[in-house]
Amino acid sequence: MSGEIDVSEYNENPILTGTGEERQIAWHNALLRDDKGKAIAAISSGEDITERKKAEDALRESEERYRILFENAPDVIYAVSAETETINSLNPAFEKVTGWRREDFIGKAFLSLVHPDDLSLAFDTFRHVLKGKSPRPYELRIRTKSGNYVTGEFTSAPMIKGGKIIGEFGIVRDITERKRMETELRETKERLEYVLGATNTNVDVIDSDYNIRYVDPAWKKIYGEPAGRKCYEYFMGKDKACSTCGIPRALKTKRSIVTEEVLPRENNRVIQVHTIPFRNPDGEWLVAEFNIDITERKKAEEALRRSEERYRLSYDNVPLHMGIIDQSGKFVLWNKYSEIMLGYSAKEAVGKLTPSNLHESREEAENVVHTAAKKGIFDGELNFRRKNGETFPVHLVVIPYRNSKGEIVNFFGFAEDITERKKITAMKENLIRDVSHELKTPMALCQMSLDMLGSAMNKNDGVRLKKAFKMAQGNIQRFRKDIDNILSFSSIEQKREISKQKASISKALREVLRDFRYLIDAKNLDVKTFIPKNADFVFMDKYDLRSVLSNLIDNAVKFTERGGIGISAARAGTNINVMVKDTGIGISKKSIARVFEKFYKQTSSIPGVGLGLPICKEILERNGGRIKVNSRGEGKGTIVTATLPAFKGGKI
Amino acid sequence: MKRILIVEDERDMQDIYKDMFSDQDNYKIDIETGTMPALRRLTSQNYDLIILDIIMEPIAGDSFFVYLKSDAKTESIPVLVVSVLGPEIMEKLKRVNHAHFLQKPITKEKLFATIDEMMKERG
Repeated sequence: MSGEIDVSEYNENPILTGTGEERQIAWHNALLRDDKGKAIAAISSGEDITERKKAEDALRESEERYRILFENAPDVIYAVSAETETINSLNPAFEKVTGWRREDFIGKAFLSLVHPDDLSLAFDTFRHVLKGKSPRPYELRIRTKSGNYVTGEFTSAPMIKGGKIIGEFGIVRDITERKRMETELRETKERLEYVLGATNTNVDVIDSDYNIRYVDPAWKKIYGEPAGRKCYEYFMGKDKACSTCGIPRALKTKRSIVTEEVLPRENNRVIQVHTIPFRNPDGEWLVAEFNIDITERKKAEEALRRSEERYRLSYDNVPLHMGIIDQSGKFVLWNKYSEIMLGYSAKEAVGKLTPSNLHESREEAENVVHTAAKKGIFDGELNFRRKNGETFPVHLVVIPYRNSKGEIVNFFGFAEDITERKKITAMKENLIRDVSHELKTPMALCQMSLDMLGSAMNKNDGVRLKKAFKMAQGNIQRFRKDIDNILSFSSIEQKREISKQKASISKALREVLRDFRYLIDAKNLDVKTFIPKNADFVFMDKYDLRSVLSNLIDNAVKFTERGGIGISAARAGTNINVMVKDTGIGISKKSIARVFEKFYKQTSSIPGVGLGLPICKEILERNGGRIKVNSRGEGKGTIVTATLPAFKGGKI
Repeated sequence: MKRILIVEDERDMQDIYKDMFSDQDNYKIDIETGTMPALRRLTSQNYDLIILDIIMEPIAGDSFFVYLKSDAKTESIPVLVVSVLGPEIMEKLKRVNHAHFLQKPITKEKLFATIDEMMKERG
């Protein structure tokens, strides 16, 4: 039988299965005809196309989604052929990012778009991808139409068709802005840290619970990573917040707080902490701490304090009263010595006393200030009164201090206690009087004894003659002695150069006794000397030795009316003690302490200027010796012991 | 015969006075070394003239002089000050009468001329 199928109908419609599942069926209906074309049967077949339909829909949706993504993505999507290494496709974002038109680069080598420095990376990753691998995102700089480069973050993968790698496909995100911001941020941070580092300033950020949110690298170098530690643990090694901490106050008041801290782990470096509260983007309150190094400032402050202290010490230690009065007329400064001089402490004086309290009268105080104001200085001597009422002489200088407008705002006063100076001046006046008296007396006596001598000669009166002659001799010796003492005193004052040498006590003593012969004879004194050989030679200036012996014998003769004088020497180790003993008037207990005072005289009627023992003391001291005076009291004689350095060389 | 008290602490000067007065029959002298013994002597004895040194211990001649002139018993006694000090010492003693002054060294002639004059003044 012959026949043909006449495909007449195709349709698709869903059917419900017995389980209630809808399946998509494709129906193919056809008429089966005979030779004459007469339909003899209808053939119908149903094909379940549910799965195929689903796949087709999925593909369509996927393609649609890809198309939408491809067309609208802000990122550049591209494909590069493995075979030709040229660009297959580019999405519209390419035009936006680079400024080129897509047509300009489709079919062109993709490497032509890459920054020359990035070519090797681009080539490597392309090779990598063609091996079927997906590299981690990488950055390449892409040339734009304007000639600049944009930084693209590339995420690329191999493109596979029929199990074969046909190219690379990828997404490029323009991260130029992000890069710029990152760079800027890094640079800003570096700059900030540089500045902070250069100024020794450290920065940290801390939250309300003392957790460290940020700490600058300089501190990290010292303290390490904060690693969840609280600020007080991290910086101070404490287990609770510092008592001086500014964080709670800053957070409470929302104002900057400035405190000072000492960093024990940084050699007790002193920092000034500026705690500044701020809100982070999450709305959380934190503090930023700027920690400024103030070690140098502290050092400077300390140095200033020390120098002020020194200055205070110096003005406190000068032996002068220093006072400043202000416009109220009261003292505003009162140095320490003022208390010693005037009896008022600074506490009693400052803000309370006026110069009137110190002067003998109010008029005088006013006059001093008036003169200082008018003439620019008061400089004079007057008396001050102590707290206890005593008055004493001072040399007072008062200077006004003017402000920039020329108005007097303070008076500076300096006063020196001149009691001692006055005493010395009085002593000098006494000296001149005494010296002239002491020189005039023997002179007058010489004159008168020579008159007597003349008269006795005329009358041929041998007894009177002898008496007058002795008197003249004695007074001439006394005159000479006074002149010697005044001269040797002035030579001591002038610090004459001395020459130490071997000097014989016995020889010097013989010379001295010869000078005193007349005085000794006049008083009929008995003189005994005992200078053993081992106590004869001293090591000192020859003139000084004579001067000492002369003074000691002069004193002994002067103060002894009856009896005698004994001069002996004795060896005492490396020294020789020379003892001059008399049976004279002696020295009272009251006077014995004063015998070395210049111009002191126990008995003013006894001739002499009161320099003998002071001269001996000075002479002996400059020759390495010393002197001692003993007396059992008035009328009981005197023993003077001079200790002289013995001569060591040669045989003794 | 006139009695003279000499107050002088210098031994040589005492000897000179003794020598000067040795041939004077009109005058009898007593010498005291210090002002204190002189005062004691003045309470019991009368003198026509006092010769006074100035530089003495413990009471200097000028203080002694003022004392003499303030005591009714002694104020009328003429005083001759003989001192090595210059005449300026007399400035202090000016307001009191009957004081004469001689500066050492003195001569016998001058001493007696002054004493004679003082005696005349007194009458």
